[in-house]
Amino acid sequence: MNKRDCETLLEYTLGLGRQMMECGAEAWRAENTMARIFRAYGMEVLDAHAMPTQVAATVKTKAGEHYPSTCMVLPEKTGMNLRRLEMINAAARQICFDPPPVSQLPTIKDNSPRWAVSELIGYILGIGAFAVFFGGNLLDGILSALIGCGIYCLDHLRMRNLQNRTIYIMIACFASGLLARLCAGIFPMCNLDMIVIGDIMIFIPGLSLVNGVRELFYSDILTGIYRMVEAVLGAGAIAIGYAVALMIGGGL
Amino acid sequence: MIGELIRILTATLGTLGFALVFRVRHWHLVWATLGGTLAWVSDVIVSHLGGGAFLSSLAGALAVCLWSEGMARWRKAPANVYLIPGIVPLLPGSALYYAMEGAIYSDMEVFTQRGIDALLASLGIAGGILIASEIVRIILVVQYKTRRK
Repeated sequence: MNKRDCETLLEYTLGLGRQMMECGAEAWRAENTMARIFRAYGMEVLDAHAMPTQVAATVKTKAGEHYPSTCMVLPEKTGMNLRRLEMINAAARQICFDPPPVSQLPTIKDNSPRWAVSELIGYILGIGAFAVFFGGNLLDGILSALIGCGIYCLDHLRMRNLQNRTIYIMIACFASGLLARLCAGIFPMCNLDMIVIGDIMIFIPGLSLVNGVRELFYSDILTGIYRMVEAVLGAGAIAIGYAVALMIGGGL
Repeated sequence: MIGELIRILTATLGTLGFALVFRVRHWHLVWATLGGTLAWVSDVIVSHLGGGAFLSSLAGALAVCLWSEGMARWRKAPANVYLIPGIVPLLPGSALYYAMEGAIYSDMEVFTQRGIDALLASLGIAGGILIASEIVRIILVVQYKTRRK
């Protein structure tokens, strides 16, 4: 492999690692995937490291040349996209199983539309069902789901403008809290708390909690702490956003 | 009994909804959704046996984590595809809300009680994930050593 190929492979693999981190993969999975791809091309992996804000790798060719490089992960672009994560995972498996020439490395394209109907249905179903799950009636579920449509639009605006996630959660919780208060004013038979609880479920930082715990106890302490702090900030933003909205609305 | 059935049904529908939100591919949807049902049923069983917020969340997380690891190997997909939607019914949304309400009302008793509930549920989820991850790691190490022999 010549120098140009080595640099292309390094750049490509770091790109995969970055995308995995952006889609919600655990750090060790991104590191493992990068290392396996380099080894498939006969390189010695001196370092393959991933964290929520950066991926880095240093490889050594058979000729003894070292190639170090890093790639930035934008926290604002990070979100949950399990479809894309699976596609990257499948492509990495295929590359390791039968490494193609570097010039023919596959481009991973997620062709799903930005505004997907299935995702909107997910917001409606998820939020509505959990409003009932926590003890609400059918009307609470419906109203909560309607507010969920608004949250879906806000979430897409965030991804488009790459807004800070904590600030977004606070603003979105504030807006949905006001809407919930409005619904409770219009429909006296609905339960304000159940509507809000249904909406809260979409903001709870479940990914940060799950990945953070696993990473913390797999000796990936820095990444684990980052995720746990992210989870605490998320929970705080939810509390502040809803509390302000409900106090302004006079609901509490 | 009917109340429990409604909760199991809504937990299932909610997990399906979250799987769609997280863009799980359609051929994994059924298995990801069943993970959420399994998590909640395990939570309910342990809760009925006298387990508190911590133990019931731990049981739910353990069940869904083992399910996810099994599915990941069978369906050749990352475990997170099944784990992240499946864990959602266990998240302490209700406790978080009432703790916040207690804080706004300056009702320290409600705030403390609900805050502790949320914390215990979170710790239970963390514990369940850890135990399941360790079980899977041990199985993989044993498998690897057996193959090498």
